[in-house]
Amino acid sequence: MKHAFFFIIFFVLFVEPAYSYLEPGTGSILVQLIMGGMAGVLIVIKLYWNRVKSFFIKTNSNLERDNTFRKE
Amino acid sequence: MSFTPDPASFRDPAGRIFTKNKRVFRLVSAQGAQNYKIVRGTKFISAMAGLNKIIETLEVDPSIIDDPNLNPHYVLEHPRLPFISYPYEWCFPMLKKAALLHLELQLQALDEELMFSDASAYNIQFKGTRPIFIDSLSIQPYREGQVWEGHRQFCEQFLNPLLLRSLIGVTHNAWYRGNLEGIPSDELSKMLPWYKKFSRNLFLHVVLPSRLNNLAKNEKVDSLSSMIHKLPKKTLTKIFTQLSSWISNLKPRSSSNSTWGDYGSIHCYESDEVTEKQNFVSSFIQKTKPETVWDIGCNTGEYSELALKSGAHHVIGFDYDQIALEKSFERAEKNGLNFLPLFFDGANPSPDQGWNCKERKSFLRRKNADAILALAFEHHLAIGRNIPLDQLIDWLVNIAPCGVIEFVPKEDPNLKLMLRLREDIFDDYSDDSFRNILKQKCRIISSKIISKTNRVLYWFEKPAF
Repeated sequence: MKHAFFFIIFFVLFVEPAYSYLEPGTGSILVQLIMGGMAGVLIVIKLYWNRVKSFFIKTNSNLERDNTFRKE
Repeated sequence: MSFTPDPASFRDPAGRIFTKNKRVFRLVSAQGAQNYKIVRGTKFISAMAGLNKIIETLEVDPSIIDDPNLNPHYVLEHPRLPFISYPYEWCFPMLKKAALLHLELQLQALDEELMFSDASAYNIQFKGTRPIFIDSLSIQPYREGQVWEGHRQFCEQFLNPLLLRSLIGVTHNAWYRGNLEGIPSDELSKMLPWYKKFSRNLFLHVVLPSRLNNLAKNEKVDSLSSMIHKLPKKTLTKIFTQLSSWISNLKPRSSSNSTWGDYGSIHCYESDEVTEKQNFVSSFIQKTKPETVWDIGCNTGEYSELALKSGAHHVIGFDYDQIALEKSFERAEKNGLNFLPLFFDGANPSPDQGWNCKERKSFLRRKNADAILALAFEHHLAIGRNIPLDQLIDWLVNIAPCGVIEFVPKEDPNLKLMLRLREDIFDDYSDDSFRNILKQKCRIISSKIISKTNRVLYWFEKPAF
């Protein structure tokens, strides 16, 4: 499942739109988009927001898992 | 005779390089044909070739390829370069010049609605001191709104190695040679002092991309795939211009521990001794008429220049000392010499490496010298690195069919300096044993004592080379 997820990310990000044989690097693309205007900045804010969200979601799911484990 | 694909030409499916009878062909595949057709129509390549910035490209009849397994859409021919060198063999000003050429070409290409598909430093070679771009197929039509796909590669292969030297004072060669793809931004970023990271350019091109790369690593960013086509063209132009002006102001951080940088001004010889040495070398070149000379241990290029003035066409210089190499390059630029000074450690020269251990050729696999000069060089390996004299001589005389080797005896002050803090374990190191070994391996045409400290020049020839 994890591999499939990476596979999808890879294709969504690079293969279809870029027509390139070179992996351009997400960081490099984002920096250019930031230099290009607000849209790039918004993507980065969204990325940070996702990071914050996933922190809480992970924490909650960990708690749930721990509880289930204890019950068993 | 069959066509041999170049082992370094495999990444881009748009085409491959093949060599036959010392001619260099680029075979354009079906995949690369459409882009090539558009690029050819712009005259960009021919205009830049006229300025010696991109290698000349001549379209030849595809029927020249008589191999049924190859079915190219186009066949291009390029002139053969005197020598292929790699960015891990370049000194700072060479890498800087190559980086600036890449950016200049990107800017010019954009004016013609073209864009480079990558930013590999290996696509730039040197003709004398002039960098020249050699991969015409990596030029492609610009698509409205596209990002610079080569940015990361440009940073790793050009910018970061330059910053390493400029900001930290560490030379790029060993790391670059180990990694081959240059210096990763996140690794450079870890080494930078925190207060330097606030510099605008450094933040934008090194620190931020590596941070964002890590941030986006496990994230699904659907919006990015549409945004990748929405970069304004003027932003691209701005990125190239800013990088270019930043890089053109980069200087190597001053280093005072160069071994031989001021060798030219330190005397190892009296002035009449210098004249004798020059006369010997000059007459060797005039009589043997070599087209290509390898000056091993070229120092600041004094004798490389003399070889060229005495009739040699090209000189490839090799030295371990960065300051000496930079001075060599400066000399070559100033005097318009066909001289390419490269970084080289005699006891550990560039190996065959990369994909399948064939992608980047070793020092010896690229040998093309008609003659060598190895002046005040052998003692650095024989004494400095404990290389046995017979192995060292064998290695030297097998580089080219003839040459001049200078023997530095134990009574020489330089050698005394090398032995001052260590035991002298070199019982067999003497002019007599040097001469005897040399005689067994080749013919000594002439020899001459050229200093009061009994340094000797040997002109050797190896008829059955």
